[in-house]
Amino acid sequence: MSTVIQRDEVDVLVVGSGAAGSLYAAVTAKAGKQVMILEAGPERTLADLQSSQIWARQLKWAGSPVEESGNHKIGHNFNSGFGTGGSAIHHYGVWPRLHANDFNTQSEYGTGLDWPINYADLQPFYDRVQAHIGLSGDANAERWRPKGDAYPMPPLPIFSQGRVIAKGFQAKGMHTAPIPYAVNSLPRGERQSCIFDGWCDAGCPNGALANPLVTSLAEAKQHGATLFHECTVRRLLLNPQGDKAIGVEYQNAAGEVFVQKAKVVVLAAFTVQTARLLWLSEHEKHPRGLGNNHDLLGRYLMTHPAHTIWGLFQEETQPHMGLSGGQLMCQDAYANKRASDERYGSYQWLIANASKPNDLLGIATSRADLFGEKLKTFMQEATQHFGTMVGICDDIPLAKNRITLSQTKDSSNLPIAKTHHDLDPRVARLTDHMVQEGLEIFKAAGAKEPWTGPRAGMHIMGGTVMGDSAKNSVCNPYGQLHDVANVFVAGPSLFPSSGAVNPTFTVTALSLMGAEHMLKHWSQLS
Amino acid sequence: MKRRQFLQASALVVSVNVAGSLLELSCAQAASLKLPYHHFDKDQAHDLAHLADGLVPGAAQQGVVHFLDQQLQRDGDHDCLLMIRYLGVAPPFKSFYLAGLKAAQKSAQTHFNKALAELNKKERSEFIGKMASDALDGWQGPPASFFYFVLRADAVDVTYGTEQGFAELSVPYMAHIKPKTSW
Repeated sequence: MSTVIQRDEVDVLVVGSGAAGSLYAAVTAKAGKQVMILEAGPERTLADLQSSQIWARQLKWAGSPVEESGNHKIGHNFNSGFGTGGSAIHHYGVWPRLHANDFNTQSEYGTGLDWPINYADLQPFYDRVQAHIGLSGDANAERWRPKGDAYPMPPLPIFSQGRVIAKGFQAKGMHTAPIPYAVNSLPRGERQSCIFDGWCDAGCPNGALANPLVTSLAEAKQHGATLFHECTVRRLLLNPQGDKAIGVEYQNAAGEVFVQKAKVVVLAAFTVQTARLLWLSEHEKHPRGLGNNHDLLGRYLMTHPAHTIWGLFQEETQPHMGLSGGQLMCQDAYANKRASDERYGSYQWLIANASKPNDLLGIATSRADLFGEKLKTFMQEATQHFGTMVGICDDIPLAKNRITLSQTKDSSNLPIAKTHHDLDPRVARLTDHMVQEGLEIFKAAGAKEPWTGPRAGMHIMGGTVMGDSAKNSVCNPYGQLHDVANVFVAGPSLFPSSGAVNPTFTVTALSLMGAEHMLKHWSQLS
Repeated sequence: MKRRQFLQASALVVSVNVAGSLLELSCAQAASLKLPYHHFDKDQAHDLAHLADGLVPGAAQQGVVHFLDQQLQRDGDHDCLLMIRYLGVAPPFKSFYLAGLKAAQKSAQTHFNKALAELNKKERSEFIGKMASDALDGWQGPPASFFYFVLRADAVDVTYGTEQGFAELSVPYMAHIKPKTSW
């Protein structure tokens, strides 16, 4: 290791420039704090977001490798971003809220973990984020939606694929509503409205998607926050007593090592790397890793089990059009997580996802069994008549599902992260039930021989879960480590339960709650 | 169309030093000119191209081997654009491709007593079908079905994942930002 270079203390040091870290940076910088953000990946600008599924891959994780095991792996490198804005730079912008029954699954269903807060605690933060960033949707059409303000913008339009598949839901007596999106349906400030070209996965360069480059990160920079790229944090540094963080040690692309002092550290490095950093930050007072005095660090790792339904329709569906996250949603199966003794959990359908010919979620991959001339024939038909929807299920937080450190080391000579994730059989049965329902819906919509693919992990949550006590959690409801109050964890790693909805809206609402708590108690923290 | 525009439209990706001058070519042009590779020898390249073309007709002509060869020069870097980077394989990816190809080459010899590149269409189709379902006895390498999946994805990329590929499928490309090159 080269010489360690000391840097002057900042007020708030944020690790990671994704949705959570950027929000913390914006709120604290606006309040006059001196804020520095360290991002492990390279710099990205809107101009880098080329419309191509091939080029989109440069936005995916390329940092320290992650070992994965278990019968339902988390798909780390697909679900994690790398560079400015983290994975949020090209997230699909599907922003439903958690439901009230997601917060008390242990109390209500005897399964999983309860949150230390409930929906009513978080609702004001959902509403404020929604008003600030701007969401599109139709609150009235979402018959399942928990309480909250109406969306500031009308819903995005429904195209042919959405209309065709919606007929299947109607035929089955089910309901659909436009997906609530962190995507402009109308121009908003300097951000343009969506042009429905289906390139969301490659990133949205016109600002229609609320990615951090045009929202929180832009605000943070405007208020003086500084952002350094290709700076990988190696560990958090504590005072000799081990009850307060004094900063971080990080390494730049040239391998130079720095000590950056800070009054408060915000760990927003996404689920796996956040837990890894806490493991790497062992101290005399925390010999088994920071936040791990009760052997809870890394536990309750979750990913949404997801299944895709595909079909070919007689109608022309224009599958390349719309948004990657879909056009419509259905949460008819959300209210009762115990609809059957055999299975557990809620699920939702995201319907009519824009699909391009190639890539993991592309049309060709949907029939991975086809090759040669049969594939060619399929592609010619499918690119005109393809329909798809994705079902997303609850996961059950299991203590054995955990992020730990591997014996293998990365190029910086630090142990890499190791993740283990098994699916609870009750959830596996839920996914089977959901798939059968999805195939029936597609048949009812007129699909010729609908089909499905393997179960996949979507989103990554847990590992540093929040709770009301150090005995049952790593962090308090505001994301503060129970053991070291001036370290805030931000991101989906805080979730004690996964719910069955996309997490970014909740991540953002929780971050706002945590950042304001930090400012309110600043004198005690600094 | 000016030369530069043509190259951009047709996936400029290969720079070749010819008598001291840097020649910029698309993968398809590089393939048609049979330019050498950094990571594959001549036999490996022939076999890989023949296999990929059996997976996705047209992939060899679109320069799938040059695509792989070029991307493997960025093996493990954040700008490597191969789909394998998020399929749970740790870099370097070159070892995966070489091991998969070696297994396929040996398997072709075992089952047909021929080099992979010499399989006729019927034999190649039978071989790929068995590869996809892990039914090639004696296969030694990464799981055959997984190698099939990865190489098929690469072949799909070069054939259908470009502006030209979209056009051949009559899919409007509708770029927000038009890619400077296909990859």
